[in-house]
Amino acid sequence: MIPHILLQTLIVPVIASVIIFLTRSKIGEKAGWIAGITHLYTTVLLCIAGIRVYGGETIYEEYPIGAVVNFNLLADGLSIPVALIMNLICLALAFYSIHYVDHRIEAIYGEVDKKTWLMYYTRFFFLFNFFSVGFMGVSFATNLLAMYLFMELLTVIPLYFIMATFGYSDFIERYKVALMCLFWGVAEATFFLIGIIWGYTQIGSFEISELHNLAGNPLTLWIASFILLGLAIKLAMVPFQVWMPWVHAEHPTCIAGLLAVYANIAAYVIVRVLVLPLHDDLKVFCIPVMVFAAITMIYGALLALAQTDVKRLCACSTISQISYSVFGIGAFTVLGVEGGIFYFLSHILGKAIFFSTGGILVYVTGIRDMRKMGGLWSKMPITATLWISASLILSGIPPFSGFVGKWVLFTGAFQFGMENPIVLPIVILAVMSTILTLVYTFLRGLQIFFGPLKPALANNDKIRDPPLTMTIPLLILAVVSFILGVYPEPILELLHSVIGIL
Amino acid sequence: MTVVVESIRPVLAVSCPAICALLILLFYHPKLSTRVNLRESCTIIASVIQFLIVLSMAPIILEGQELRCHLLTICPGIVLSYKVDAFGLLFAFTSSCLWILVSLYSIGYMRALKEHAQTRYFFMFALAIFAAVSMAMSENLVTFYIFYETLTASTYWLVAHHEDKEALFAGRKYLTYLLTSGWFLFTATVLTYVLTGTTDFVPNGILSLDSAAPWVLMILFALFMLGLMKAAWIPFHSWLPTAMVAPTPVSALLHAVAVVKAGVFGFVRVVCYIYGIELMSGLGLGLILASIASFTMIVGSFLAIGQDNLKRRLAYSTISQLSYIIFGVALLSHFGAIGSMIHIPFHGFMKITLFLCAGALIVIAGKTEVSQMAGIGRRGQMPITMLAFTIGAIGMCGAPPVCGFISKWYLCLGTLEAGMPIFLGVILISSLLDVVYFFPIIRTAFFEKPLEMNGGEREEKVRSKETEQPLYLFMVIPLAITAIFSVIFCFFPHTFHILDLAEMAVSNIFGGV
Repeated sequence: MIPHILLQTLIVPVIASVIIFLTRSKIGEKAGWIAGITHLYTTVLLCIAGIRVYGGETIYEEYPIGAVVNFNLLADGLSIPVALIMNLICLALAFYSIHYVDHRIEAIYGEVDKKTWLMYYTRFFFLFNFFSVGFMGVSFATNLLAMYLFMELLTVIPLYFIMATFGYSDFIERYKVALMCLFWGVAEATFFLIGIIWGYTQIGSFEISELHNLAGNPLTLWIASFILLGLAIKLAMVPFQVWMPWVHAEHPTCIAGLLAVYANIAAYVIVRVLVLPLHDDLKVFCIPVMVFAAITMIYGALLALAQTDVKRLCACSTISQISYSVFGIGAFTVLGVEGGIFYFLSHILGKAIFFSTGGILVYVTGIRDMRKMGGLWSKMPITATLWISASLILSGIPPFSGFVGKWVLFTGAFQFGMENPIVLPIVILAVMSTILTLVYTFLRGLQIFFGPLKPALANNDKIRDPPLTMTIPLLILAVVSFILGVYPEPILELLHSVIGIL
Repeated sequence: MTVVVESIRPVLAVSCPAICALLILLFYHPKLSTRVNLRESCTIIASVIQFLIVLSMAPIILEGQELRCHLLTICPGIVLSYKVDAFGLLFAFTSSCLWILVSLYSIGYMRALKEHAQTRYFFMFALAIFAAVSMAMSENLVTFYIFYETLTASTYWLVAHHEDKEALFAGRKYLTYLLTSGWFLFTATVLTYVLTGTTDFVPNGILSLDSAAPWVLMILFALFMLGLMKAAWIPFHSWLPTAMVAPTPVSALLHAVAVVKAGVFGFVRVVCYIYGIELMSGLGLGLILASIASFTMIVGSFLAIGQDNLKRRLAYSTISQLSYIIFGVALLSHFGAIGSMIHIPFHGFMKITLFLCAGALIVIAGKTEVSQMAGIGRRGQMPITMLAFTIGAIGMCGAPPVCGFISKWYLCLGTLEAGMPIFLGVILISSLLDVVYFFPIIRTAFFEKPLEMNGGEREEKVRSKETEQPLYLFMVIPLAITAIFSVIFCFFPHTFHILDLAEMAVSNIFGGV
């Protein structure tokens, strides 16, 4: 038996961060490996916890701090799969970053002396670990204030500082965009905070398990709309999607995959905070949420079609993909919500690969404009394979996990549509965005990897597949997605054990 | 009633092209030319084995058994499994039988034209056959959908084979149409699953008036129709003539074996096995479908008249002929359904003959347009090819002694049985139009004088062009075989159990009514 198994997943990365910070001038390049191994350890822990939960156990750990605030952690069938997949992505991207950050520092700060280089290099990994802390915190927290704190932690420490230090474009632009991201993040969190404090005045508790007491309260709808508004900003739903392309485009690509997680985790929060405790009261939100989600799905996909910048393509694709989960969750049927969460997992896996492959392209060729690429298949076969598998995951084509997610999600949505015929056309329209996904991923894939090799690229010897530490983690993610696509039963069963009560 | 038996035969049949595809990749070597022969023999052997396996299933099916092989249950609803019934076997037979001939033909065609990327070509070809046979044997809509998309993906590479501007454009158009249709099919599949809790093909249909309001069923049917754009019904047909830029064996594959047949196969499956005859007539969908099919039959033929390019003319002819199959099931009558089912293999054999002839004309004589073909069928030119072409053309018009006559006969019986003699007129007009666009080709080939006659040189040459090179025999023999079979099927429609299987499938469908 491992003591404090959930707490460890939160604390160990922090400890690793502190170690990296304190020994930064000595460990140097090993910082990346330390971060990677830390995540490997926490992933193993989560696997063990996952097996226990799958056996029917619910892991609950109490860490009270004050009267209303506590850091109690709960791992049930809903939080464990989400946490596990998110941690897996952190793990993969930690290894991916080892080479990438080196390249970023060189790109931004030019040739620097050893000391400055070490400072920047270790700073990245020092900050990076807070991602998984935040993600684990949000998924395991049982207290709304704790959840809020973890969400803020995600916005402030890793997101803002990493972007400000390692982002693209020049100094001023970078800080501007980082600041904008921070503002949006804070705005979102503020709405969320207003909602939960208002809820506190009604039921006198910040515990998620107490939220069901709000049922039947006349103010519930208002409270829920504040929380929903906050989360909609985080989910980059129309009309709050503005920040996403900027932030994604400016971010160093090695953590851009985590940005998709950062945004999409709000879908999990919706299920945890609103759908499960208050599903009977919130039925009125179903149709508006589905309509907005469908609009976002299609709008995001159309935006993605119009992009020529490889990173912005990924960003717009994220806007579209996130709304799949929201769409399923909006249906409020068991399958819809399960499909929404499953699609969330599938999306973050696919997006981590997609983004990082884009990052590889930028890393290797140094250009971001996809029109200037072409015929790279012959030079970078592994990268092309990664791009194609990511495209398959995102557009929901068997045998990858996207297909299962899509199937379950739309089954749920159609079930809802059978009860409310007015929704039926919306659902049919929403399925359309899947074909748009196929178009923008594969069309761009063709443009980048096939056709004649551009002369400027052909004569460049540096253009080849990147080091294995960049490709192997991504290949592993693709394999995970494949396993989920062929054998999704454990995850679906885990989700069903919690969501089945609807 | 039929008995379902667990059996591994469906998987064996499907795995032949799959293994063949893998072997083709393994044998790939950019320089070693002996590998090329290995690759080709691999294709031929796999196709023969597959054909034998498929054929061996026929007696079992005719005894009243159905062979089922469950592969994988991914999650509730997504069940991958194969089940061979009489109708599925008919399509599987068509695909696997013609694959042998088209493979032989491909060898001659691709080598004679010295095409590039032949390994990719044979690989994708095997993959397409794998998808087509899998569709034929799929037990439910989900499996059907998955292989529908596989087929689209694999045939894209064949359509865009030349990689020039025209081919890439055709490929893009092809994908645009067929991926969109895949989206509709997916939507329809999910909706069917939500309505009934299953997506299995059951002879009397799984939907009923109890499962949803009539307008939902109507919408669902519209989704299915849009989802089966592979059947190239007008106005969603224009991908098909554009895709004619592909190498000719591919066009033959698209038009006779895999792609479009998969579309009409889907139509029959949806009408008879998802909706069921009763529900179709209850909703009045049969009449709507029959009208659309008649429209396609006649307009397709009219469009064919105006084409000078032989392959494009054949493409429009296909559009028109495929609608016979849709039309047959839409009549919702016993004979109509038999007619449409046997038209799948029969049309396959006749149309492939025509396409193989068109390909032979391109390779041997270098002629693509109808207007260039004056005297091409004369002695010293290409008499065997044009003779086969004539047989195919007669069959298309539905005249004896070619097998098109049999299916058309059943279709006419079907219209009378359904009590809609007006559609008899449609069939007759359409056949007449077939005559209008096919017979001028035959007349030009046999009765007009060759344009570039230069003195007596050509007259002395007794040996026909077709036998000039041994490579050409790879092309001429397959097309002769398909032509001969087209005639045999007319006199003995029970060859390979075709008619028996169709009768059996139809009696299962109508058994419960």
